[in-house]
Amino acid sequence: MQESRFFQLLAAYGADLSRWPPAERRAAEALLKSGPHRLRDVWDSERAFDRLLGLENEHVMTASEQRRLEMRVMASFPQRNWNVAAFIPHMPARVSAQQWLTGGALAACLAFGVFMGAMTGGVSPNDEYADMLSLSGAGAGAMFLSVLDEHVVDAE
Amino acid sequence: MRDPDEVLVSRIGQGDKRAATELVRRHLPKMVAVARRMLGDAAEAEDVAQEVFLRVWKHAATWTPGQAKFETWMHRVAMNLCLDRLRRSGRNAGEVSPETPDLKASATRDLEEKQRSARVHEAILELPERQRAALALCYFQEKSNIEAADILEISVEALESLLARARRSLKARLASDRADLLSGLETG
Repeated sequence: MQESRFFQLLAAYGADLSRWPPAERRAAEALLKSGPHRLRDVWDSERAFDRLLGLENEHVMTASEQRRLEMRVMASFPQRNWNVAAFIPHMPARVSAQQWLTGGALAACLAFGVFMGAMTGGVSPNDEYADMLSLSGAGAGAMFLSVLDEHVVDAE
Repeated sequence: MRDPDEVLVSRIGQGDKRAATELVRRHLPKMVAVARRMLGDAAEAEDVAQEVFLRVWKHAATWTPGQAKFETWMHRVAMNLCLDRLRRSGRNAGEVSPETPDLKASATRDLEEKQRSARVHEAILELPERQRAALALCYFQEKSNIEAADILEISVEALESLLARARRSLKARLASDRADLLSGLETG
């Protein structure tokens, strides 16, 4: 390795060889060992500067901070067609044709049942009226009035 | 070498939210850290990280493995979002206000350490944004030079130039404090 390249890499990556391009690390180490003493002096100076940069502590998120942010991030995702299998354990990621047929048949039965119920089990207007009376208490009131009418008739 | 995120990304592309949760858990701290170094603001860094993962969610289905690593792509998105924010807000290098250290720390040593750390942090935030980005990726995110160059979409030579200028600039900025900072290190 040429000295000029050594200084070029040292100026960019500092004295921590783990940051250097892997292909040039060995050559740099060899040059440091066998090269002129001033190389080691510059190296030491850069290492001191690396330590100074290392003072910059990274803020490490606490577990609760991370959890909060994870929830916020996940909540920001717009809804889309979910892969249902992802939420139900042991369900195959892809639904087979046979499973589609079974599901389809069940859905058809349900639709047929609803349709037949609507056609045959309709509620007549009279039934509806009777229900309303019983619910509102008007049925009892009507009965009371009719009894009162009978008393009036008797008195006359 | 196979991308460690490839399987997760493929599942996310199919709408698997559990895979998305796993990817978020795996990379969220790194995204927040790089954005925080670039912007100097915790709340903004969280916004950037959220936006990165939102883009992952939207675009995972179109991701083609075999190009750059997925993590590299996420870092590139984060970095571009940070640069956009800095430009949009009109903040230039040196105008990013660093978060102040918690001065309530009771122990003197803790306080001194925080002050030293804040001084270095401040000097880093004063760097021009591209130099700061190169430094954040290579020195603090521990990206290889090839990955960092890929993220910044520049050549390795250009990256080395940015790093060298960043170091030179930091040395000049910290020159007056250097002796104090280093003596603090030795006694601390």
